[in-house]
Amino acid sequence: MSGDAVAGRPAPSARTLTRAPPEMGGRSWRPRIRWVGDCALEVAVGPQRADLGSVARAQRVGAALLAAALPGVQDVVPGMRTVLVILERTRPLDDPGRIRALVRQVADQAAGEVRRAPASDPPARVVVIPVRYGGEDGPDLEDVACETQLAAAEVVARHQASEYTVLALGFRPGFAFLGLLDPTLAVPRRASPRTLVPAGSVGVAGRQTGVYPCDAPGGWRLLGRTSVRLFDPAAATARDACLLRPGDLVQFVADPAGSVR
Amino acid sequence: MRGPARSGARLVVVRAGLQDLVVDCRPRRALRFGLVEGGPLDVAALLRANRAVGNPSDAAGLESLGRGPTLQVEGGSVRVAVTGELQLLVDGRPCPRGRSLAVVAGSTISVAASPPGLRGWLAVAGGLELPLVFGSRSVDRPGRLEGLAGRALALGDHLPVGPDPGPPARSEPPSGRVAPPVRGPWTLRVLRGPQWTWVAGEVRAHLLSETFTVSPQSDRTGLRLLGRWVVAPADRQVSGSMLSEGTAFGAVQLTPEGGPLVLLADRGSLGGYPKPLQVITADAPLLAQARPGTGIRFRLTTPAAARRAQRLCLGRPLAE
Repeated sequence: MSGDAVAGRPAPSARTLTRAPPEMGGRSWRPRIRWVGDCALEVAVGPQRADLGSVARAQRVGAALLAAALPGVQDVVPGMRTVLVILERTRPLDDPGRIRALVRQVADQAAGEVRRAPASDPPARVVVIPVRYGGEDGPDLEDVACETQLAAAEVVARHQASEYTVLALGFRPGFAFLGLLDPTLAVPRRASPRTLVPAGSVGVAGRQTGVYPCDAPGGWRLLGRTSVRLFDPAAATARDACLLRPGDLVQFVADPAGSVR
Repeated sequence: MRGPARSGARLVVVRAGLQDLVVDCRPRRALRFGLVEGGPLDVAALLRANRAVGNPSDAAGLESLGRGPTLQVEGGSVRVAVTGELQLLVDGRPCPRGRSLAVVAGSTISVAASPPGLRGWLAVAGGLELPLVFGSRSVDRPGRLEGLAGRALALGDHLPVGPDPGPPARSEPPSGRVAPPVRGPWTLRVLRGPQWTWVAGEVRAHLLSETFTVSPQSDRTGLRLLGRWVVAPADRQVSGSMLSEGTAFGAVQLTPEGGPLVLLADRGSLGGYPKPLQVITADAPLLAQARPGTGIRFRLTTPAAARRAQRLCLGRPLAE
């Protein structure tokens, strides 16, 4: 781990560190490409199971497809094992074979680079997020403790014990899907989602955890809340607005301002 | 103080509609940061409205739902056009759709519901000169972006209008408007979705034979369809094991509650539920017009037919 570096944003006490990139899961996987409807192409870069190597490849291939700025491509969405290439709906697609071939070319090249030179990645950042656990800030902590047959303090300790990888951003601006959660904490979503989860709420669902960047409906179990701002609407670009980026590592710590009941 | 790119004319909201949203066809390209795709539900309709007044294709206009807004023209005259299924009224008088109309300062423009349709698009020559937020003027309501990029129009909002580019040089090719059927269920053409093979044969057969009904719980996130239960218990386990992936406009997703959900412009960027069908792009105009109670059937088509239909929808000749 290299020395501390303070996050360059006004978010309160989100500390950012850097360290060597995680292993990429170096097995080779040739991207598979298929049409999704008549206006999108899916690039699959890994098998249908949770695997950090697939996540990293999806990010790499997604970044390459964006950088290639292919004609007629509206947006590129990396998922957990796929990249969706969304084509513009403002003009007809005159040569579907051509755009598919271009996507194939860029994806193959990016996947090849991942295999050859995983160490060329920049060091992963470690973002430290202080959380006030339990009470009004974490209304589901007691239920999760009950379901997992752990003490509330133990649920909190285990939530803090792992360092999580940002698998992808989605759902709301700056919302990061973080994995993988300790299997002993894996609980299903609430049977009926809340109509309003307050901004800053820290939730868990299955093997994932995450922080709601803004007020939103949601079914994740809420363990606590943070004052760290995950999305800054006044930033110059959407990228700059997001505190977390795919590949970052996240560490939750207890906020001294909050207490575990 | 006015910026250089303004004409001085503006539209002032004197009565807000049910849901009036600023939309343009500039993609924000930020799905990977959790923002919505956004933009008009019927891209072709906003393009037609912009073309009718001589605007570039990326000019911002309004999308209205049901009863639209009443807007007072101030600071100069404007030219406007409405497409889609809403009725344009100037000072209370109905005006033809799809054509540019000059409206003088002091007049009011209103947009009214025109069943069986639900949505309409209003373009103003020069476009709505609102600030670009992350490269687009389109609203992202789930993401609560700043100003009119994060919410619907409200009473008293001022919409500055850009300089009038002048009417289009040539008359437009015939409109590709898709008129929604007045009676009977609407047929949406579909292709096989990414998880077509994941769902049981009887579920696929059911999806292609059932007449669904649009639920009142539908919005720009998705069109929720009611019908007989479609997810067999075995398939519910499948959805639990699926990894989240990017979703496309028009994807028909099976949720654990059972009913299909057709994903629209404000859908979540990633989804982990199976999507056995994908509505073709040319039928997006129908998705935009379906209202609670509308009957919906799905019919399989081919990718080549889908592309031909899309060319027609955008008002382009078949052979180019």
